[in-house]
Amino acid sequence: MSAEPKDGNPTSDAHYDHPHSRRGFFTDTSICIGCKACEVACKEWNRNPADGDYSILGSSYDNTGALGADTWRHVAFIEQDSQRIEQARESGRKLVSLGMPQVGAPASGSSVASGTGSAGGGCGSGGCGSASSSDSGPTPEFRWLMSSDVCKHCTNAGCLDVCPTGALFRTEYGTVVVQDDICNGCGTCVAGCPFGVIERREDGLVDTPASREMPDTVRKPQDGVAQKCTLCYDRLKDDETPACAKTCPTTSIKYGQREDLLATAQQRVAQLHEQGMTEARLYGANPNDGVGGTGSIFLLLDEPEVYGLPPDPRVPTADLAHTFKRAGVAMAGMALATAAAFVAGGRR
Amino acid sequence: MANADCIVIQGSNMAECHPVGFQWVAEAKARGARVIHVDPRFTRTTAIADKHVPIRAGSDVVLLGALINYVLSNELWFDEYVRAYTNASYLISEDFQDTEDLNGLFSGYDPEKGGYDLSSWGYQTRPHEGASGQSPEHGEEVSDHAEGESHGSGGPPAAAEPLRDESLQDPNTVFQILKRHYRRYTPEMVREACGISEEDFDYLARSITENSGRERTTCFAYAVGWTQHTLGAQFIRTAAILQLLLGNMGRPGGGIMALRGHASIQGSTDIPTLFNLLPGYLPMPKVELQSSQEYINSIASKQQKGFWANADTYAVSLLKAWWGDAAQPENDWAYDYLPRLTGPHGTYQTLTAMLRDEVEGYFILGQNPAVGSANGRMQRMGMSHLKWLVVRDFSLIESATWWKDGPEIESGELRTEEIDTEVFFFPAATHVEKSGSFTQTQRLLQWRHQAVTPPGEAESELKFFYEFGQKIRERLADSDDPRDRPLLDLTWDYPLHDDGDPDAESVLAEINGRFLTGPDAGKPLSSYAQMKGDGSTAGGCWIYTGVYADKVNQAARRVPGKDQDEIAAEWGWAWPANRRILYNRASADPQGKPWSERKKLVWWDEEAGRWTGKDIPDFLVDRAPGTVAPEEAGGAAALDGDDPFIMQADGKGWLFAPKGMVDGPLPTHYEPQESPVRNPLYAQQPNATRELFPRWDNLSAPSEGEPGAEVYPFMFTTYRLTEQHTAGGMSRWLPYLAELQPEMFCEVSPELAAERGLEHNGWATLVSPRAAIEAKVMITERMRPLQSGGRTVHQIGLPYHWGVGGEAVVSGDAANDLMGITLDPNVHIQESKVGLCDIQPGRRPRGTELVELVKKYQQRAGLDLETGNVRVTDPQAEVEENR
Amino acid sequence: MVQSDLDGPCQSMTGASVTLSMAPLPTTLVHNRRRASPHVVIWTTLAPMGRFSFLEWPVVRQLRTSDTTARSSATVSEHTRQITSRNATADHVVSSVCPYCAVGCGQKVYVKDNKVIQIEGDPDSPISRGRLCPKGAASEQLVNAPGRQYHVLYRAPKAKDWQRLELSKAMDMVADRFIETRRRTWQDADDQGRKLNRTMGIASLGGATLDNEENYLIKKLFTAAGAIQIENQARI
Repeated sequence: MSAEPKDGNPTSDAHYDHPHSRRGFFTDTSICIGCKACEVACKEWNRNPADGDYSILGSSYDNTGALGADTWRHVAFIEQDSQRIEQARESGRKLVSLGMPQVGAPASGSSVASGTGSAGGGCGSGGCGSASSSDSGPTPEFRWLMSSDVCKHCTNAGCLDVCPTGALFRTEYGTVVVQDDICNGCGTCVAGCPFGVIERREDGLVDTPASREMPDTVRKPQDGVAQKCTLCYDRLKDDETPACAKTCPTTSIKYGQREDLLATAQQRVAQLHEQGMTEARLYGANPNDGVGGTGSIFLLLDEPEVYGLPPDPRVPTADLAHTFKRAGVAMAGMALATAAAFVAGGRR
Repeated sequence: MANADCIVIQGSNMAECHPVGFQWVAEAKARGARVIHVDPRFTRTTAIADKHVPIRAGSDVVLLGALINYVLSNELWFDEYVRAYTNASYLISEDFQDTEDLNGLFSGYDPEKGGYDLSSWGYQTRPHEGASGQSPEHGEEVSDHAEGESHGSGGPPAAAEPLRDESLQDPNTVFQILKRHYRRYTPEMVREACGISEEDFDYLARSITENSGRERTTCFAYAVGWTQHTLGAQFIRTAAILQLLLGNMGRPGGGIMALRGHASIQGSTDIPTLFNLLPGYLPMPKVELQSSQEYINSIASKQQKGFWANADTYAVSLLKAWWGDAAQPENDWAYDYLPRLTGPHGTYQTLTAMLRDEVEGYFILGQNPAVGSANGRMQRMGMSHLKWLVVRDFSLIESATWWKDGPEIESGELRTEEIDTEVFFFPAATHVEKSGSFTQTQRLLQWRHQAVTPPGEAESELKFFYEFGQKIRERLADSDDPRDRPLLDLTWDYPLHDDGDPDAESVLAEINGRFLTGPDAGKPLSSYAQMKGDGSTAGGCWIYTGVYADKVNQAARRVPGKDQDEIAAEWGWAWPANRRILYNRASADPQGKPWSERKKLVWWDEEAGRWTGKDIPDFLVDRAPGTVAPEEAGGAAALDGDDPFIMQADGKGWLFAPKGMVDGPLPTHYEPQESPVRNPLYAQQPNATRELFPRWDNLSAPSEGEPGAEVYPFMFTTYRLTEQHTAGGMSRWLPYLAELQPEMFCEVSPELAAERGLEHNGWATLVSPRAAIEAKVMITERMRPLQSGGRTVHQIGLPYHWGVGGEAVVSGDAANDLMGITLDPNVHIQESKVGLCDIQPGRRPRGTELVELVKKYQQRAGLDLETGNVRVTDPQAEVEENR
Repeated sequence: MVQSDLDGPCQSMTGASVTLSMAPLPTTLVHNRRRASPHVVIWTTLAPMGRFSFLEWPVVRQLRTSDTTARSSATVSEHTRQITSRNATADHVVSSVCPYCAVGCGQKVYVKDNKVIQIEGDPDSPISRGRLCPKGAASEQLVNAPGRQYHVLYRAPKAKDWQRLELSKAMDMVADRFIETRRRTWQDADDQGRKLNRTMGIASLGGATLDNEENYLIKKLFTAAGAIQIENQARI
């Protein structure tokens, strides 16, 4: 079997009788309004417990902190001054000149024109050429970035690779999901995730009060097992959109076939570059990165670290497939040797 | 909104408060529209706008007035539209004097009453219509009535035949008055008053003017950031004038969009649980209107243009709906069953009556005044004076528990064992546990179907009040006291479901109205035009007539949006008559052709001889362009072919309001009740007609230039966050929402933090003349000090969702405790977007020390009942000041 | 009379059926019940829950599916195979409107055993296109909130705490007080002899979160009783 998944779909080596195309998210942070509907819709659907101790974190409008066992969608808020914005633009320009990652500036000038004729606002790719244009100015004085983070559903998923029980598995949609009934809470996967996404849930059940006892279908046992985004595996089974993407008011979170999402994401980056927002770049779209690309793609407006994302995620088991191959050869050799020994012994 | 070419969001934090509505802004932006956010704070709306224009809270009329001036002085108005569809050419009485002449006041101000006599603001009319050339019915206006809002959807009566000067050159034309009035509203003045740079002003002015006209439209969106001021109604009027001049009213992608905070806040104004209104914006009768004829004459005259001329049919149909056979011509249609107003009886007046022990019983229905109303301490103290209190809600909100764990219990001002108030808490049904309709912000009624039965003893308001009415009527059944007749004669027989719930659809049918006699007796009305003033029709709310046409619940229609065009006329039902855009006749030119292909909406179909288009024409469907109505006609029949504003008495959009606004025919900038600057435009500092509540528990801070102003040096403004809902009754009890914004905080600039030694994520104490509260500190560059009035003005941001109580998942001090009560005179809304306070690091004191702290500040500032409560600013003192 | 059950509102007063997106039980399921791909269905019949099947033995499964690294189909448990959307288990789905702000977003309410098991956006709504903000998305928790009260409570004068009271008893008590206050505070006329016909002793606050029909009954009843101090959130 091949180490390189066919069609970019890691399920193709999973041997489902009816594989689906690989699904994923494209989170376009440039249109996120930080409303956190995704966080709520996710918890509501998955019946995850509320996070933390109801105290303000002092981290702009973020009060859930990070992704974890209970929070599977998390919105980060970053406040930046003009100096930092300029740095972000500069780093974006460098990415373009390096030809990374699929963000060339296309020649077509048709995509998004500014609303007014004379006021223009047209900043060409590579920054604003005209200093006289008062609108959209060279660099805004201030900006407030918002970004909804989620499990990456990696092509080479560390959590999956190290799971000793088979609780984590690659679904027919190419996503990575924990099976509650198999997980024994060993926590190996927690160390295996380069993004710090997966966590064990310590704090029991979420439930409604006794007077409104829920039907069994909506109860969810959660005894200390590993937890993370399932990309709403249950909803996908019924052709429903994942809860976060469905609720997102501005379509900042898009759900679909990863191939299509990637194309959309690339177009969007090109469009923003045309408008002078050279800071726009994709995250998770590069199949040659340390996790083989991710199922969840992000459009960021600054370096990944700014959003709390690792700049160069690397799955500890990145080379596992090769290792397996070599191990396989070795094992075959040993088997042969053993067989030979048996045969030899039998002859004795 | 998605059709707009430019969207100005001002006085609203749309992305935070209406995220799903904001998708249309996002979509317009994706299509290339420019989005500008004018707001004191950099919010989540600003985060994806093209431009942020920071503004000093409360100075919006200066900015909008300067935009009007920009349009007028650069000749950028939409000439054909303005001439045809507005009252620009109308002549105003020669007695009228502007604020330019009277240093901030209009003619007719009566210092005794603290209000205006509106008679000098009227149109000049043909001589035979009143000896002085004035409309005769203008004389009686007094400022303490709610005239402004009582005609919210339409036009109050006005003279039928005003004089006009089509050249717009006569100095008494509305157009020339407008020019003079706003002449001094310049970019320099904007910089001075609003703290907005000339570059930013220029950007804004160019954006809206370049995106208005035949081919393009600009839309304004506002919310309570505009209404919660002592001249809130005038903020909206200023935007309306601007939009009329630019030709953006009644057209796709234009208009002024109100963004409102409660599911049925529009519905509860249309079918009002408000003191001054009856359903359909009919006013509640005032004491001086002793007969139904006097009452109806006060609303409209039969001779005036438009649909208000038929007010008699709406009023009689309402009385028939309520009192059925007991409403007869012989008893004046039971007009005397209606109680009478003797002044404003709004929630804040009621509060002071409570404190005077005049109110014994109080119902609180899904509202949380202990947290959500201005001057929270007064609210809670007021409730402690009640004999009995009924609270209906989902959970034990602070308004139900103040006697147990409220702030005044902690401070020792109230003692539980001394409070005599009986409190009844009734659990309410949620929106999925009952059927009924909400009316959303664009006047669209949508029906909700019941999903489950309410749990435990929870029940709907419908059931509660139906049964409550039954119980009262049973108790009075044997009464022969005439005062009980209105209750006993009330139509109160609704069909019940098996579980005892009244059938909500039958109530909707009553609201819609029906024929009482004739061949169609019993059938629902399909249009308010079918209503009669002779008792042959009944209908509970004329503007909703049609919602139950053909015995079909039109509000329950749900043809999927993807199967319809963008108007989506088969989703729910919009009043009036399912029109989605009001006054859409204005989307076509006087000849009936669309102003442009790009912005077409309705137009005149020459062959068919009818108005047609994407929306239902908001006009007489067969009234051809160019028609001149016969002189003797009244009502709808009197509309000319180019009178698009069909609810106004003259069919025109009002640049100048000859009636209807009690504080001036043209919006004028006055400073808020508490302001850190002097009014840069006039000697008159605040709105001279604002409603004052001078009381020791409602003291005001001195404004700049008055003694003691340095004690409360900073502005504060209150607002909502996406993650919480109003006073928290529907959000602070929900763990998923509570965790997202768990604690009360204040937003301050790094500059202010440095000045006061505030630490990020530490505590701060805020002190106003009313209260002291504590909040976590959020230091952020999203708050910026502004230069205004020759000084640095610091603004502090305070979300108002938290309250003190033991029941919610999260609680905290309430921002509204800081607020004082001073009201807009038109609509009686309190000024809660601006106040003055001090801020100090650290937590507030507990117990009696807290009361002492507030007092110490008051003494230091030398506050008394006069402070801030002088109506007319002494011009002489102003002159001295300026020396 | 109108028959009433959970979906009673479908019936108009005259009994004429109104065409709505909500039909009577149990044909209202909006989602097809397709559980999973056919081979899983076969497998569930081969390996019913709770019974050991040799074919389910992981190693055998691994070989059988040729998922040699055992990271995908070979590790799928019976439980996982049975997973389906909670929405698909609903008895019926009801069209509703979000109760928070005035945008009026459409909602779909999923009901099972007379309990709300999920509320999400209605994609058919031309207003909201299926989307909801965090508050709207929390609607299910609003309905099933941990702090929701299900019983009438009464606090007597000077009392330090609540006590339970039966609903009808509480309503009787309020009705008695209402009538007494009204009588005591009634005003027939002002000092000039002009009719007033009102009481200033009773006030009400709230309505913007309620239905039009509810506001209508409230205004109608209070006005008939002569109580004029009726206000709501439109004033704040």
